[in-house]
Amino acid sequence: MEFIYSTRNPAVPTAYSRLDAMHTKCEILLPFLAEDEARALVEDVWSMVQAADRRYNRFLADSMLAEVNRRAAAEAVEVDEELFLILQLCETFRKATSGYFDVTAGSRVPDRAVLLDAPTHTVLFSRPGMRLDLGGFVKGFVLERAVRAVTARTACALLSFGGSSVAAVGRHPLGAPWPVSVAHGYFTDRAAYTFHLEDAALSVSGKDPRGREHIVDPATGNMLEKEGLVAVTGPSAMVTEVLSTAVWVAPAERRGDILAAFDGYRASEIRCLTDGQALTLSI
Amino acid sequence: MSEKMTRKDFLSNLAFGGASLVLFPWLAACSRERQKEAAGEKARLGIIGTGSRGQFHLVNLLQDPAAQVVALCDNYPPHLDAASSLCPGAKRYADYRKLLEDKEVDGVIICTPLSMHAQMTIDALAAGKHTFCEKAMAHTPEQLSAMYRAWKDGHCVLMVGQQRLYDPKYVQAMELVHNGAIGQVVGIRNYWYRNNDWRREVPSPEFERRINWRLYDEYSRGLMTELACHQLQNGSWAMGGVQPSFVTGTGSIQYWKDGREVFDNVAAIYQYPNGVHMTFESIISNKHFGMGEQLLGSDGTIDLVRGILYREAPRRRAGLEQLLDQIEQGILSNAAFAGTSWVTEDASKDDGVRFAEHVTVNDGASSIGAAGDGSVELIHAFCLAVITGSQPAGIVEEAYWSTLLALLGDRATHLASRVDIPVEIVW
Repeated sequence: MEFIYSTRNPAVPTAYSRLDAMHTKCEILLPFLAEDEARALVEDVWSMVQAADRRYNRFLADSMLAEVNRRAAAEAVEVDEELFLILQLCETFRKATSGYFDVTAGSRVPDRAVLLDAPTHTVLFSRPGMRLDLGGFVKGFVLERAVRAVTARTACALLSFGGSSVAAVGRHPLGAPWPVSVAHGYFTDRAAYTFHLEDAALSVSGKDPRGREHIVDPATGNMLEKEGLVAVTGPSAMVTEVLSTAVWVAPAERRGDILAAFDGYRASEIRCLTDGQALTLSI
Repeated sequence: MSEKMTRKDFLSNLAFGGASLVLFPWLAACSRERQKEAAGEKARLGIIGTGSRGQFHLVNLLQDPAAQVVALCDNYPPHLDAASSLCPGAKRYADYRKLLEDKEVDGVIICTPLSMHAQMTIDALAAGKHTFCEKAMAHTPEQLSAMYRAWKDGHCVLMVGQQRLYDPKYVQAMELVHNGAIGQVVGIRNYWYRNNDWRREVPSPEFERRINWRLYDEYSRGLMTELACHQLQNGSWAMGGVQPSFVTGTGSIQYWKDGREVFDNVAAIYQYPNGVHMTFESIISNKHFGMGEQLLGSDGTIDLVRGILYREAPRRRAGLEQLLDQIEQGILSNAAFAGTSWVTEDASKDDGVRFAEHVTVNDGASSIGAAGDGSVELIHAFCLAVITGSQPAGIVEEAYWSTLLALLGDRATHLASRVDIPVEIVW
């Protein structure tokens, strides 16, 4: 963990901290708090992140998720309350997005289903070969919890998990909403589009022009070959995380319907051009 | 007023405060308190000289609730007619002395050729009129001293048309300099390039010198008083009010050989007591680089025209650290870190941080005035000063020094040798 406490601007003492976790760089900016208060808050938030990273990383053999993936096709696996809640939420979002958000998308198994039994807190896969990948959900889930923890102690903060999941608490210390720009795909120091966040979250999904495909098409189980980014803003970091993926995956004609089911959320498609320009279209 | 600037923006932009008022005391003339004090009242103004700059101010004044233009004066009928058509209710004068006798005029705005500034200003102050004189203040150092003396001995407000005094971009930049954002100031570079002959159309040859007064020594000091006068203020501000010890320079007529007497290209170097140099260069037969004003520091550079701060050795800050950096500098700017995955951190150069919002980048091509250059704010400040009778602090001294530096720079370019600069105001 990196922790910086800066008083170079005496009117706005600011703590910055960074933690490498969840396969990315998690960052937090906390203006106005005293150094010890900021450090304590950062430690609480990073504990939360590290715990989620250990439990829901499917690549860690001893993680709770890895155990579910190993056993749930053969038997009902009892899970704790938090994982059960996460799986319930994922199922709810799958239905609400017509299946375009699906944590079993990488399974390449047709007619699959995750069977949840509330009284026993168990999970069972309907078909062999299925697996859960919570990477696209847990970031938003944890970020939302982190925002709650931060909001209880300060009215001004900015959190970013890898730049793809960002949450603003209150306004920038100099008064306006937090200006957060989506980096241009070809010129990363330039802004493709700037959002102004106040008590709101931003999530970005899609394919960076220079990056590789990494989002799975739930219909085929293959990496989706598609260009462009989708950015979603709204009050909940968890919901923006889900929606940015679902809207990017969905065909153009379905995007509006998916978004319409979620009040208070707005989506934009951003296309970065090789000449440094960018096109942004509201969805 | 710029079409893009709403009335609300205009007034909120004027609401400077805090540290700005220490560095730029004249901004107090636009403080909320002063605006409140003047609320509902109007400054009754007369404009002396209704050519292009006079009409530029007139258009802005007609939209200013603190102004009422009651009189117009010009001895060139086409200009007077043009101004009258914009403001038909104003009385018309051909002789400025008659306008100064008008009891309904509280303040005058002098927009005449440079050589007329001194006598008209001295007469206006003597007549008890609050006076706004276009820059540069005077045609000679002697006239400059006489104007300063007339103001000091009187009781009226005097302001001079140095619009950068009220341009928020310059205020913010100088706050950065004085807060140490660029370290020790080690150089100041100013340039102003155009590619035009600087001529106005004349209806017949007998009007040539009258219309194109900027081109003749009898009326003008050319590029030094018309252009350098603005940019030389950057040095005074960046150096904390200390003035240069001497200036040296050169100039010539090398391209526009059309009978003009003033140089069409000049280069002047001012040296401060601590050895720092400030340069001014102007060429009006090439416009490629446009207008530039740069403050060079041991830790960074400020591009005043574009409102950007560059660091000499930028920390490789990315993600939210960019925002931490900006907060440390007191800057609210965007940071490009959001995306599908973590962006690279391998930037090898600093692309700068924009420190001022809504910057209007002026290419310096206009001889009249440009949107967002502080002219609107400056003239509004004069209206408030006329209503309240309060002299904005420091503003005459600012104008005195910028004019003196321009005049002595002009002398140096003609002599092609060193000209010493006095350490105190002479009056």
